[in-house]
Amino acid sequence: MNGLVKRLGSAFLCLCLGFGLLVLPGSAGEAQDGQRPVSLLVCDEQDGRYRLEALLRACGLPVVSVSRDEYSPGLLPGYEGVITTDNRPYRDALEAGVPVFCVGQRSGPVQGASLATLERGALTLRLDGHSQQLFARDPVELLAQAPGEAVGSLTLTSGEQFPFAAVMGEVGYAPFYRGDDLSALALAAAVRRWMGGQDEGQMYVLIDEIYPFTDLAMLCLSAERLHENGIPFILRIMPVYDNLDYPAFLRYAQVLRYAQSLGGTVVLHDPIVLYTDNDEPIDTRKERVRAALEGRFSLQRQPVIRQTGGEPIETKLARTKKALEDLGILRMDMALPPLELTCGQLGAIESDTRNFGTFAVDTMVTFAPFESEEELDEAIGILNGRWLSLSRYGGERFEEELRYDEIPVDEQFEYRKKEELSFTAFFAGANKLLILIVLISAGVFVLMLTFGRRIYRNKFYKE
Amino acid sequence: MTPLDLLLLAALICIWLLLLINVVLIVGGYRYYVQSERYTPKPPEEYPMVSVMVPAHNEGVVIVRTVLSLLDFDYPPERYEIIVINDNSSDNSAELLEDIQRTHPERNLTVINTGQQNGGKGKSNALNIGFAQCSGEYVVIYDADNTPEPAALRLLVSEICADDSLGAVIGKFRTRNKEQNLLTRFINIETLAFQWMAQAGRWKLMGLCTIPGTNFIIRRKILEEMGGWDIHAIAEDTEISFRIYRMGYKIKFLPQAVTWEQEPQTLKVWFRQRTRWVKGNIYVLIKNLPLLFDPKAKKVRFDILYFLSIYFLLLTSLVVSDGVLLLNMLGMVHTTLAGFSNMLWLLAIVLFILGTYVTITTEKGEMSFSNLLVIAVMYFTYSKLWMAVAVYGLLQYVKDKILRRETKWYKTERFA
Repeated sequence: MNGLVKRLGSAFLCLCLGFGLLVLPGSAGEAQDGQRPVSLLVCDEQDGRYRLEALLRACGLPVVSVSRDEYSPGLLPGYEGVITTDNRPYRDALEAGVPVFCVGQRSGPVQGASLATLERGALTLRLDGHSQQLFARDPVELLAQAPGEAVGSLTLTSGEQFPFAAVMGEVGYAPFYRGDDLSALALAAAVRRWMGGQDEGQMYVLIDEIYPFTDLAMLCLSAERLHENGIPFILRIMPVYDNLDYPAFLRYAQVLRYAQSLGGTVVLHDPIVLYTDNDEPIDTRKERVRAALEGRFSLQRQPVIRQTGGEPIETKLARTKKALEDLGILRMDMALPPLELTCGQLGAIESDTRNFGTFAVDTMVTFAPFESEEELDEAIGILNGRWLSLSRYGGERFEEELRYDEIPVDEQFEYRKKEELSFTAFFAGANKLLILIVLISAGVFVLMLTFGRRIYRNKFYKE
Repeated sequence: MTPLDLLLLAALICIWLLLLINVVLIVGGYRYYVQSERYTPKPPEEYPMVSVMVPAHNEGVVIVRTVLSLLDFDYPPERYEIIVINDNSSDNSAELLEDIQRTHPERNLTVINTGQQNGGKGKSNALNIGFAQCSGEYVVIYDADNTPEPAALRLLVSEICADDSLGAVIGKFRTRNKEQNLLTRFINIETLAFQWMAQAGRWKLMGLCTIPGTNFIIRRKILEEMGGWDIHAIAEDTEISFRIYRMGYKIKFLPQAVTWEQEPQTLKVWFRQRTRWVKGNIYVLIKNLPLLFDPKAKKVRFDILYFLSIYFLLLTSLVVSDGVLLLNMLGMVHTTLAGFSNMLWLLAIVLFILGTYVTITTEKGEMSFSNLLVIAVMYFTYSKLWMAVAVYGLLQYVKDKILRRETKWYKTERFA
């Protein structure tokens, strides 16, 4: 990244950057993230933009994304580097002297690199002691030759070997990238190399999307079993904004505190914004319900912090964070989340040694909250079977053992708050008084009727 | 605390205040009933000359029966005259009345037939015409559909002669056609409850009564002093009551003097008659409203307040509370007022039924289980209809005032 900082100098560029942050989706929050340098990602949604964004974040590289249509060469001077799945930004970046990384089949040709085509067949991807058998059903282009440093390798069944990616100074190139297998980790390694980093990443276990209404007993059991097996874990909880003083939430916090004392780290999930098929965010609750009924929303998008109508999301999040802190939960921020690996993806990757080791970037083996003991045991079996080197997320903060103290939760709490009524005391008093008066009056009437019955009979029916 | 809450609070206070006042009046009225069982007015040493006046407009269906019952009084025939004001009738009333005159030549029966020039301008105008020709020291009024009992006149005269402070004495009226249908049963209960609660109760506790428009006796000198009836008043009975109060006289309720009258048998006729009453009472109330702030008015102020409460406050309160309840159920408005318990409202309904039942047990044949049920039904039907009448009457009154329309005297349709 040498020499990139000098491009951030001029006021004009700052203005451009400012403009870009205003008009581009999701840019504002990310650009300010930890004062890290920001790069530009040129990628269409159908090319896996969000997966690539997540990968780059895991590499410690915050990006601003634009589609190929949104892209223009004028954007380049505002960024530290460009990652592109299209060839045009590559050419512009070369001209402008901006570091560039080309990803995928359409990003080439890249100067100095030559490609070979594999029509169809099996191939093995190897990366730093890890490997995975892959199969190409359609023709794919492989990096036949490239100057610079090679990252990973692809070996055909014929024994022919190709580098997975190459880093040639300020240019990186990885034509074979599929996103959901070892190629994602290989690309991450190549990007890290392109960025000039050589660190070993950490590996974590994540239990994702936990709500107050998640099976809390199962969550306790999960924490206990993971703890017994020496597996630290992350609990990524979904933000809830209201009813934070209700017993349900207090019980939930109790369980989180308990899990925390057993090696769990609590992180807060970003708010999820739903999108319609037309790429419009669904902001209001009404719209969300309608979209859900019509089945036209997707959760596959990268969550973006934005206002969801009414109260600003930042205010809501601040409320949630404060409630968690008040309830003794040491919440960790996960500004640049590690790369997520499912248990299936992990199982497909082989390790050359008994000890699985780690990757060039931080990774998280992700599980949904366990629904049964069998499911939990199976997951622990896989984790133990792979001899993973697992770390506690934010471990430096947990030097002292966290103690769990149970706080009693009021079971008599009324969930539905009673509406404040006017003149309550007046009506309560008047009600009693009037009931007394009415009962006395009714009693007098009954007496009058009893007495009157005699008069009535004597007067009208006397023989 | 919203303005809607305050409005509702005021409405609830009004409703409960009136309910409790009515409880007190029922107890007072019943005590008067028990007292009156042991009381018979002493006849005067010499029966005074009395003029019995009957205003009639197209009353051919009922007039013969009425006049024959007037001729049947046990009062000395030579001491009373009957004046029927056949007010611009287009039916056969004139012929029928002439026929009675022909068959009772010995009796002092005068028929005044008015035409379009001098007649047809309402009951007050007709009474003024009759009053101009009458000679009695006392004037007794009967509606054209009445069948007074033979003793009625004697009792009324005896009572007024015995007490100089009485400006007028009113008798009791009963419903002749109460068995006709549910509406007439409702009216029967309503009239009894009104007389034994509002009339007897007020008389017992406050020394106040309101002339009901029929079956009452009034001193001639009072009528002369007040210049006859107010021709603009369509509720001439209430109007004249207030004038009597202001002259310092009392009006006494004498339940022993009974007349039977025909009540509306259809909802349409009932609605029109009651609308006239509402409009007429509003006229009287507005006319006498200044008395409310006049210390000389004394007890009369209670009557003004009572009528004001019934026709304005209670009506407004019921409309407001029912309206808010309905709109609240529809989710159109929201009130945060605490409110009373359902138990209290239920007890209030029970109290209404019991109180009304107490008032009707004063009459023969009325202390029955079926009447208890009729009262319960009345609460949910007839009482609500009254609200509609009161609102409609009020609107009509305002409309008449805005458009400067002359108030028409609607004649209640009679049934054969």
